[in-house]
Amino acid sequence: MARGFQGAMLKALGAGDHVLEVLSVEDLTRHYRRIVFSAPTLFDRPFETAGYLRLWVPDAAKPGRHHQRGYTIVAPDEAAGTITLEFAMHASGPAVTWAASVEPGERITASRYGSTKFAVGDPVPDGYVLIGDTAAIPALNSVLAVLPDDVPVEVLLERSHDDDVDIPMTPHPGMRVTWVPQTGDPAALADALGERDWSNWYAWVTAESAATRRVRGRLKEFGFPRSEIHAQAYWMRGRAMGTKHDAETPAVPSPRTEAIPAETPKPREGWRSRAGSTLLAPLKGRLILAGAVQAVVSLLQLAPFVVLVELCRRVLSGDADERALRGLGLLALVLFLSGTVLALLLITAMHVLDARFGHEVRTAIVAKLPRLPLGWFTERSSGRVKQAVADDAANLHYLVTHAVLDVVAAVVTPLAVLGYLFAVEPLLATVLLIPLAVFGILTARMVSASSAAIPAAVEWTARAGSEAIAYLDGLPVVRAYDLGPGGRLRATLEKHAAFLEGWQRPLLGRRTATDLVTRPSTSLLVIAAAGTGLVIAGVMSPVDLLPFLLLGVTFSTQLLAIGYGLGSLREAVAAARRIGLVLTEPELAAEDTPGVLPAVGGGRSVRFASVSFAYKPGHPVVSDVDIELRPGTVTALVGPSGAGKSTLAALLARFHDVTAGAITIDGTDLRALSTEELYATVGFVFQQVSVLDASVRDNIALARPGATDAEIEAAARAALIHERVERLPDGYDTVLGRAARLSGGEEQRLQIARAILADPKVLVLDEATAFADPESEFQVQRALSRLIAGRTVLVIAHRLHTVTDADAIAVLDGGRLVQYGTHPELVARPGLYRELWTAAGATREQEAHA
Amino acid sequence: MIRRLITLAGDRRATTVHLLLLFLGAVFRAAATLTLIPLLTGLFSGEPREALPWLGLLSGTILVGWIVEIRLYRSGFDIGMKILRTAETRVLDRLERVPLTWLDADRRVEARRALTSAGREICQGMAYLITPMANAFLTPLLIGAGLAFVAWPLAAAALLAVPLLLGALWASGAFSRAADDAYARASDEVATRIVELAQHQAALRAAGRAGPSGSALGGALARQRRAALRLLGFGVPGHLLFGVASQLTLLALASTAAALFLDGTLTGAALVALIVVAVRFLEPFTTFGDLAQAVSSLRGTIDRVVGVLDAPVLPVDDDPAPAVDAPVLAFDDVSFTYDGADRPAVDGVSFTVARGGTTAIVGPSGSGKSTLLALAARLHDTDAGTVRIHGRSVRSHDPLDLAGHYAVVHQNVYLFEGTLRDNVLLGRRDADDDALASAATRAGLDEVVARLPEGWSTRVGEGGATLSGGERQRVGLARALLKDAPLLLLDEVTSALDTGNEQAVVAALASTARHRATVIIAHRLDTIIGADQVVFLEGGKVREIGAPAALIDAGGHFARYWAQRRQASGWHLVGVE
Repeated sequence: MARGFQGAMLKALGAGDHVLEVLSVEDLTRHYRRIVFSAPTLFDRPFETAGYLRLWVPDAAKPGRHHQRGYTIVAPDEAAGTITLEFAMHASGPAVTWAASVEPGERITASRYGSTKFAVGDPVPDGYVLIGDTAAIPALNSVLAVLPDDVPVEVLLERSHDDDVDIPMTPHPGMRVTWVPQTGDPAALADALGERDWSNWYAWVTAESAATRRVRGRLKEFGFPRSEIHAQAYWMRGRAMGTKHDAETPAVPSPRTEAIPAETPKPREGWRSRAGSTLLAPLKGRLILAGAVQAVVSLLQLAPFVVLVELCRRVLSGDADERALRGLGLLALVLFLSGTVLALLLITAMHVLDARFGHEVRTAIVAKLPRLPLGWFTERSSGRVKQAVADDAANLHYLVTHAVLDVVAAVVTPLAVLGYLFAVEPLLATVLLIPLAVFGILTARMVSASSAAIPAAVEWTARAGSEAIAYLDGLPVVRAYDLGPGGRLRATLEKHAAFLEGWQRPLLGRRTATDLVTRPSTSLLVIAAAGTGLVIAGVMSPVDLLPFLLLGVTFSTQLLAIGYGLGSLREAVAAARRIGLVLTEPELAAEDTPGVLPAVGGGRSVRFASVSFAYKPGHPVVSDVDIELRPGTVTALVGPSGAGKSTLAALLARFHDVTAGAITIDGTDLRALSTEELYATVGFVFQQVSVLDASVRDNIALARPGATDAEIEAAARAALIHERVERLPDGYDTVLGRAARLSGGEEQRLQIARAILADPKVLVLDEATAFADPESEFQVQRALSRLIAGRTVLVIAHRLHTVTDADAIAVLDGGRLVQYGTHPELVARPGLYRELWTAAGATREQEAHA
Repeated sequence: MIRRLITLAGDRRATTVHLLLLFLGAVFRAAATLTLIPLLTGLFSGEPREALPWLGLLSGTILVGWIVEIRLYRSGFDIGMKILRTAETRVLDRLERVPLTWLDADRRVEARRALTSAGREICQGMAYLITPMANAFLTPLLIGAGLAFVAWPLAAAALLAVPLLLGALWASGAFSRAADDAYARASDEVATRIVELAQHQAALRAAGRAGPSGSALGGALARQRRAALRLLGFGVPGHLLFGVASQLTLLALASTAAALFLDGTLTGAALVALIVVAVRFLEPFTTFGDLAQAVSSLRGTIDRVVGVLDAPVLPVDDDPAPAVDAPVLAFDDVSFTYDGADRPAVDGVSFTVARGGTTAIVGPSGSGKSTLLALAARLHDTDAGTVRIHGRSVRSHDPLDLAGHYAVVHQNVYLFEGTLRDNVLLGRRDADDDALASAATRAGLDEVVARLPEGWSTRVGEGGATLSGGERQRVGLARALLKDAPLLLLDEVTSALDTGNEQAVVAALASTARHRATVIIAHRLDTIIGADQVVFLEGGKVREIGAPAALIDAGGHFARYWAQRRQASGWHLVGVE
């Protein structure tokens, strides 16, 4: 089968052939054909999203000739062993010609080697813009299928026939499809793209070659970073033999239209994915300089070998007296010393640079934390902070002090050697590349042979890992149920070992071969054999063999080492990106001139005025809520889980800023208050308690470091924790943490004591605090009752019967305020509250019985 | 390290063969390099054809060397696989017998890695580390020795250089490690402080103390910066030492050879050949440097495995005299203190549980309830006193045998990734469908099975994540009931307060409890009142024991606790001055 050079390469690299048999042919529109194939052999490894197949399409005109065409794999069905390919039939070309006349039962061969892979970004981009023409639809459909539901998607497609719009597309709730007519003008798609704030969007462009180029240019104008554009030309106008899909249509210039309309340009936010390069920007210049100096150092380190060659040359030619040799020795020494001094200076400079940069990054993170919304500090984001200041910072440290220099050295040394060797004797230098080529082919074959098992290997590793964690976490259970030779983990580990052996043993030969072929001894053999031949043939002088023997032998090994350095470089860039992401998190709005609350004697009043809040635009969690909390009253928030109770309460403690409306305290907007003023007024007691590694005294007096011992003790007594503190080894001076631990209920009471001492006029409370620890429920409840006395309280209620005496009850459902009143009022009329009350009745009765 | 590997592999013959092959490989490498001397002397002598036989010898040596290498790969793989299997089995054997307190958070991570990745790492290490390392060490030595036959001063210089270079390598590595350690120390403090700042942000901000000022952070940041600068002291020698040493060695060898040439000992051609050999002699050391880090991580891996294999085990004592009418479970003056704790978790506890009885363990949090359960299952050994099951000390049972005496349901029931059926069948692997269904019904699991679309085949996810807390507890209960052991240890859920049918489960449990002894850490008031006996704990000590009703009437500690709990369940959120 004639497939030309490409086919030969693919074969050499180990891409196996698969035979596909046509099962059915169906026309979805007049110009869009769906063909289902039976292809059981394709399922040896999983399919990537938007992955494609290389189809070997017969040339109708030249029998025996085949063209390679990429087609996206649609709807692979492993159980049935079938896949589907879709053909846009509006063009001429071998694949279209083949598809136009194909009948069920016909066969075609295909290879799977290299492919597109689409993965949703992390963090998820703010939107996706997918651009292409009918040939791109199969791939777009698989992309659409994996996009999260809450992300907006703009799809921009060029149609060559009116019925193209009927081609079925994967539905997506946030999708808007825009069709532009194909006119042949390559700028049509680019022109249809309006300017707006595309910040943090991701673009997937798979159109005709010239159109793809134009679109990419336009995206760059809008500020899309390269990493956020996937642009791949699927076919080329005027080239039926083009590389991928085929099409041909006459060109007609079109008027400029903007189908995805421009929006009022806002100031551009910029892309989060740039966060890493922004962080590294101040270093860039200096790192490049350092790289340049390292290149000089690397060359200087090669110089002694060149001097040695010169020495040998003189010795062999007979003009080597003691003076000449001494001179050469001196030269070598000077070169060596200057190289060492330069390296010394370079490393010193890098360490100084690293110390300063590391300090700046850490200081920036520390300065960032107090400006973030409190709601940002979840367990997950604490993990991100930890990752940023520990692992990622270490990666950057490694980047500055080692990685850049190592990579430059790893690249410069073999390249300089290669250049030198080519200058000395190009023929022998070329021969030296043969083992490398063999290595390349062997590796590719090995990868292709072993890659089928990689997903299984990943799965085994994950399974063994998670079962081991389960085993260790559940060791008490294991001891009771799963001991001895029949144990589950034993079986899994044994199967894992058998899998590893079955996978790796057949590859052992190839692995050995790839290793041997790059060994210095192999290069030595190649150089010695070819060199001796060339010398005997009189092509090269024996002296010219010396550079090869001195530098060429380890050349392969050095060249392959580049890969390792690049890995750590990539890791450092990813680390920089993660740190950058933390540093670019949106901050709370800060007022330049913070407002001050008027002094009052009694309680404060709080107003939620048309408050709405959404974590993500278009997905409100709280919508248009109006509530007033009168001074000194208790208002309870009730509603089914997910109704927005906790979110609404957290807004009053400014865990997030409202997206619309306002929350005011005695008429002043929360956002206008300084952090100090706000939290002196608004306190909160949630289930999650922060116990600092500090003394009990400092923990209680957190908000009032100047409080007297008497005040602290009074707060502790009121919170019913005083007696417990007295029992601690050092009383109020006991440092909490490893040495002395409090139980859950005791920590709650410590938190209540802290709030009592802080004495805020407004209190946000989670009622779950009261029953988090059944054994000390009673004490926590009494402490809470004391805390709320005389304050304006907003409480998130989980158990209705605890808030029947509240001054007001606000019933939330789906983020909206649906009912408002006192318990007797709400129970008296039909509605959500009464339903919840009735449903809770059964549980309450049971408890009453006990 | 090699010795430990041999011990782990266990197969003395295979390892001896492997070591022999290693040596043989190095011999062929050194021979190939030394063959260069006559080959090059021939080439440079003006009659290059004289080199041809030597080229033949060189080719032969290298090709035979390849065959040795291929064998070596194979034997390395075999030994690696053997280590992988034996290491895992032996680690598991050990883990089944360690006291649970030994397995703290750090050791747990170590043990996990010893179980999952250590075998693979050692297996890879055999192929990609041990072989090249041995070669890098042996080849220069053999080349140096071989040189003695050509020019002994050169051989002497080369052999002298070996310890120098190895020393430089070692020092280089030591400096780099010191630099890494110093960096980690300097950064860890700041990192911990910053993470703390993030974790306590809400409390700190509420207290008006969210910024870096007023915390220990400012000082830590400054210290970190100074420490990073001080890294220079380690970083520079770490980076340069080996390079400098090897360049110096090269210069020294070349000068020695040049001197030998100048005094006429060596011909020009021989000098050139010897310089080439000197460079080849130096080459393996670089390999050494490249691998040093991987080797130290392999050593860490091996230490990890050995660390688990050397862990203490719970001893098995002799206690052959069980009383005929002994209670199912008896605590006899039992005390236990956790490592590092300042007071005992359990202090002089005595009570017995007879067949057919249900004992509720009640008390405030931290009073030692869970520790009692752990001691009954012998997850730890008591410091004083004896726990007896059927009259025999738990210390006299073999772990496998002890497991047959009890079934346990923890508060956070741990489920394994797999189906619901797999998890319940752990109770008794050979149970038939009827037994399974009956246990499920009694545990209230039947309705969960009915509700799930895939029923018994539902995968429970990692740790049982796809089920709710209450559902997990029922799976645990069904598993325990299926096992049908004479002693049932139960830790009641506190979180699933609103699941009404918990009660039905308790009732079902009570109705079938007649032929076993049940010990339950009870939180729910109706569970407590339904027990035959209440053991009321406070601060690790038994305050009161008795029938619940009698204790309430007596008006002591338990009665007060009872009254508070009753009152708490009717609480209304109202401010009270």
